[in-house]
Amino acid sequence: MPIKKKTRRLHLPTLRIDPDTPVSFRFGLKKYRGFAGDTIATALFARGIRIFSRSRKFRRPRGLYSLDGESANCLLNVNGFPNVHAETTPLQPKMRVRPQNRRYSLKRKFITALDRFDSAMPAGFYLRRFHKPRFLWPYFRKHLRRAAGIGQLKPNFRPPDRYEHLHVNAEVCVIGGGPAGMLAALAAAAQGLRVILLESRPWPGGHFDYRITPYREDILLFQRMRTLAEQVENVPGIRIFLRTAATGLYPDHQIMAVQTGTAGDPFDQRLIRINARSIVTATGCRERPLLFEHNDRPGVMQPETALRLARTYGILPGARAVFCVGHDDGLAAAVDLHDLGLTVQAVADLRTGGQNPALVEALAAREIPLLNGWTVLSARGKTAVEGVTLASPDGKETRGFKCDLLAASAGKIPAAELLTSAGAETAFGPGGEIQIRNLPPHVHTAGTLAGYDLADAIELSGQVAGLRAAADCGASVEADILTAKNALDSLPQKKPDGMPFPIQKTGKKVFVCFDMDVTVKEVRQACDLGFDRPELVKRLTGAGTGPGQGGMPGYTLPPVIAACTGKPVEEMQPSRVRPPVAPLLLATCATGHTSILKQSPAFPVQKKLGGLIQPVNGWEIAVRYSPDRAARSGIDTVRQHIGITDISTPGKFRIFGPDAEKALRRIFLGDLAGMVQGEARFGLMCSEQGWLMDRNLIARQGETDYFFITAPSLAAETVREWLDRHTAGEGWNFHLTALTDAMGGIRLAGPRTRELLQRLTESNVSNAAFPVLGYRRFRIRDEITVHAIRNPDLGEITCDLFVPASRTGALWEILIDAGRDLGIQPFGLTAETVLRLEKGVVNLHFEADRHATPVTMGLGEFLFRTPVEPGTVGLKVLREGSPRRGRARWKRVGFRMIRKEEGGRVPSEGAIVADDAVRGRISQCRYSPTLDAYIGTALVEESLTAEGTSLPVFAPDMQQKDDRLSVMVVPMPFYDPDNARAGQ
Amino acid sequence: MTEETMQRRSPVLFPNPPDDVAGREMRKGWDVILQYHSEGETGPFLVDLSHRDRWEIRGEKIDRIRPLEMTLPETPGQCRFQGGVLLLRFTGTSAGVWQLLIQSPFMPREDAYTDMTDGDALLALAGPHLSGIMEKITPLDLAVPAARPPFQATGPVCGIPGRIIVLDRNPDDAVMLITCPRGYGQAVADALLKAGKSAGLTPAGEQRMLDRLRALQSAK
Repeated sequence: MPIKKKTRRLHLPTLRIDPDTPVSFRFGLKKYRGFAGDTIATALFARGIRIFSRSRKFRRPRGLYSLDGESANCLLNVNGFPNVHAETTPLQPKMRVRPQNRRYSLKRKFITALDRFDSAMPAGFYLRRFHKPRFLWPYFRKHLRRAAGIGQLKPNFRPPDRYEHLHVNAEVCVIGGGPAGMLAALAAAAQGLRVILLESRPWPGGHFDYRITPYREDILLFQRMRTLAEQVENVPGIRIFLRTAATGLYPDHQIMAVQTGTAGDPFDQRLIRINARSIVTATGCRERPLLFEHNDRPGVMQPETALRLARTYGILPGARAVFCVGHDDGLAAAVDLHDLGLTVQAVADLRTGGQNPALVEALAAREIPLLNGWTVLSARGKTAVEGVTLASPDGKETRGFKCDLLAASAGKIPAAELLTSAGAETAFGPGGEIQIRNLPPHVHTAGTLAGYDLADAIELSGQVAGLRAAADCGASVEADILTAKNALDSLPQKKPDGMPFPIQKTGKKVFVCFDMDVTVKEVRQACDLGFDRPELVKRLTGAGTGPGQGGMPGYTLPPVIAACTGKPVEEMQPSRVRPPVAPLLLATCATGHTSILKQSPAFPVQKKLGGLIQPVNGWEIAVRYSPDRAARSGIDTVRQHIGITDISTPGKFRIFGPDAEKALRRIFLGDLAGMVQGEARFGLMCSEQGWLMDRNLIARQGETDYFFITAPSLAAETVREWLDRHTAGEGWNFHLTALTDAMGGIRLAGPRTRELLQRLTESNVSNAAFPVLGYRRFRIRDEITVHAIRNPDLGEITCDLFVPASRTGALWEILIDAGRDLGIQPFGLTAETVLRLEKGVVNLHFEADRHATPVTMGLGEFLFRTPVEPGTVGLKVLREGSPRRGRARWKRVGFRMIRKEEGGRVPSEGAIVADDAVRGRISQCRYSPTLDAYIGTALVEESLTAEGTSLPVFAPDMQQKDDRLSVMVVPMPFYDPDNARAGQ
Repeated sequence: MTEETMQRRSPVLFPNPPDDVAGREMRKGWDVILQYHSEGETGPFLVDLSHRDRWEIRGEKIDRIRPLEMTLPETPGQCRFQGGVLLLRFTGTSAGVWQLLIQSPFMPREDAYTDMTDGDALLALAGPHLSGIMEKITPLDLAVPAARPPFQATGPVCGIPGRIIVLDRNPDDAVMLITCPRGYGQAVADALLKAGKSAGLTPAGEQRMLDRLRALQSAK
């Protein structure tokens, strides 16, 4: 039957398009025109396009089946984005739409050749074949990988940055803007609560929005919906998010939803995170696909889709139609579409009775034959439906019809994916109906999802759910709930239709899953192989793992398996759906997770000086100031002149109060007793199990006032919680103030440091007055007070200066100006790492791992203190032995490369020390320009720690047969072992 | 040169070009932008107040402490805006004193006091559409009906720890303050400007916010 190139739009009061606003777009190379309010699919359908894609495996033509994006049939490439659901994506001006997964025209018939070789592609064929002979597997793998997946994303494609994250708080969240959802929102908002209403379509109304069935005597259902929508919009407490699909429900009543923007919105898509105290789900029902031969042909669609095309978009879905339905809404759709001009040749009803008598009369009045208990045997036509064959309940009688539209559905099933994602269970009842059980607390259902069919009952169920949600939030509405519930119970309840679900087991192309091209035949093959549960069949056949997830096959596959295995359907468990239930762009997910990095107060100065800025430990830090990766100039400056670097990133804390020392002794290993004012000492922070967490500098700045420094990774809250946890119940009087951000730090290091400082301060900074590990406070140029600590870690005269953060930049500039003639130069983190390594100082950034305890790191002296306090965190475990008793202990050693390997191979961090077994690992290895050698540290078995031992190193990029790199254990420190330079 | 004249640098630098500055002032070493040519009249506005003095008080008996002759709020989470000062009670043993409209010459020399001016970045927002902007950067519930401004909320702001003080939530002209660790100040300011772009959020000088705060104070 020829398809008209252009379909004339109907003019109906239910329309949601604006026929006065045309919208131009491109599909492939051709230019098309739709109207504002269209989706891409409806605009294309209106212009005569019936084939939207080719299927994944058999390359069969696929057309518009549903308007809610339940299958991959209408996945298109839109503006460069692959796999966009054309049925749900609003049409926008100048869109560039392209079909995907096709090499030639969508209409070419020869590309359906694969369709004839289905017997060569049984269930899981790609898992079971192609592996023998083994040498051919790489060839097949290449081609299988090429065939896998749908759509292509160009590597250079850059989406526009129009994505957002939104955090919304409310007392009640209603998911679904149909009649039940709107009534629920109104009921909850009437209690003074903030309500959020999510609706996936561009307008509220649900499945009543396009129905002209009378609601009251002079009001039709769609008119009622428009009135309700207006009411909802005018309630200030209700916030409506249209074009917003919930993607998941999470514990603590968090809802994730994704909203699609329109031309006027500042975003293309945004992820909405909703915190609510109670949730009402009124997501309605969806139509269960009917299984018959060639049930995927373009022209086969859901009855609701056919009706929506006409009523919402003004498109008559065909010329001659046959209906096969399992619910009264399908009968109503047939009547309505007939009245709009569609020739309905027959209506097959899967049920043998129980239909609404008024609808039966209406069909009779229009001389449309109603075939009770009949089903579809097959659809005919190569690239679109050209006819159907219906079969009687006993299969003995068949009747053929010529048509271009087959509206087929096996009844309605609840759209319960969100509920199952939140932990609710679904199960099949004895009649094949879907039951929802074990709803999470403070989650309510309403409307057709809750099993109500009639308009009054649907609305009342929404009201009851809204009131229950209000009660969850503390509203006193028990009496109102009772009244509404009684009214609901008093309404005539429609007897459940039952769920007859005929399955054509004989055909070759009866599709259970459109997305993955899985047929009933394949399911039967899977069952024959012993895969007798939906979860197992899914894994072998792929049914339900396509872009639509379990949308279509979720409630279809289990009955098919039951039919194939002869088991009762109640024994089959529907698949659990995992979020995201609705698809969203990865760009939308990613946009809110741009890592926010901290900037040091000296950041602008470092940047001005040309520092190479990189993120380290959550900070933006200058790692070096020259192109040389080894940062030789920075190291030479420190060893020969004077270097300046930023040390603002470590944690800085003030702890004060009468019991401050006790608190410090509780969390730090090391002897802090007898520390006098103006003195600093090192301490170690260990976990309760004795693992080394940090090496800290602690200074006494007052009688009961201390200042200590932690690693950058130990944030203020971490330290505060650590201290609180380990001093809880002691009743000690001390206070901790985090100064990490309040104070900036500058480190001066080099033989001329003292000379520079003495130029700038009147205080005595000689070694006698300000020795190593001394703490002083003095003024620089009589402008600024600095806290200074002599730190021995770099092996030169080193002074760490701490000042208020806002003055750090200015102090840096003063120091640079004053030290210019002394050869002052900035150095970065790379140089500092090498300088510390030369001195053999533990660098936990590289060296901390599961083997790091104070003992293994050669810091055993920190375990001894007087008096011994058993409460000190980690001390007891450490004094009693290694926390990993019974296992080989690794110890820290220094090594030097035996061959000078500059420009060649050096062991990288994490490389293993291994002969016939793993004996240790390399912690760090760097080139030292001072020593002109590659040096490093490693954790190795105790037997390998002797000086002169050669360590065989196996790098991650080496092959088993390659020669090991060879390094030799040498004593540490590598540089200035007598500390003569630092203590000058 | 004394400490008061030595330049202090704010953690936040707005992207406005130098010639957009309509008024500036050196104050205690800070280069304070009073007004921008481009800041417009309607808002919403984003103002950097990181230079305003902020003290932290910690101690067992801080209820006895009367900073600037004012009484601290009693309940943790409470805050009060009086005499140009925002008094915040963080916990039972800690409180904050933010001098928004006044400038005390010195901080009391008691152990309990710590000057936190340099520790945090302080950004202020004023004008319409603020709730929409804030929803893009924080999950904190700033519209909770039970809370009456001024109130504070602590939690993630742009994914990092922060504190938001709602001084006025009139939808047409709300006033909010945001603090976060100083190091994150620039990133948060950038994120705010991005989030508020569609609402017309523009950087503004201190004067704009001080006028609004004075109006807020006199309305009380």
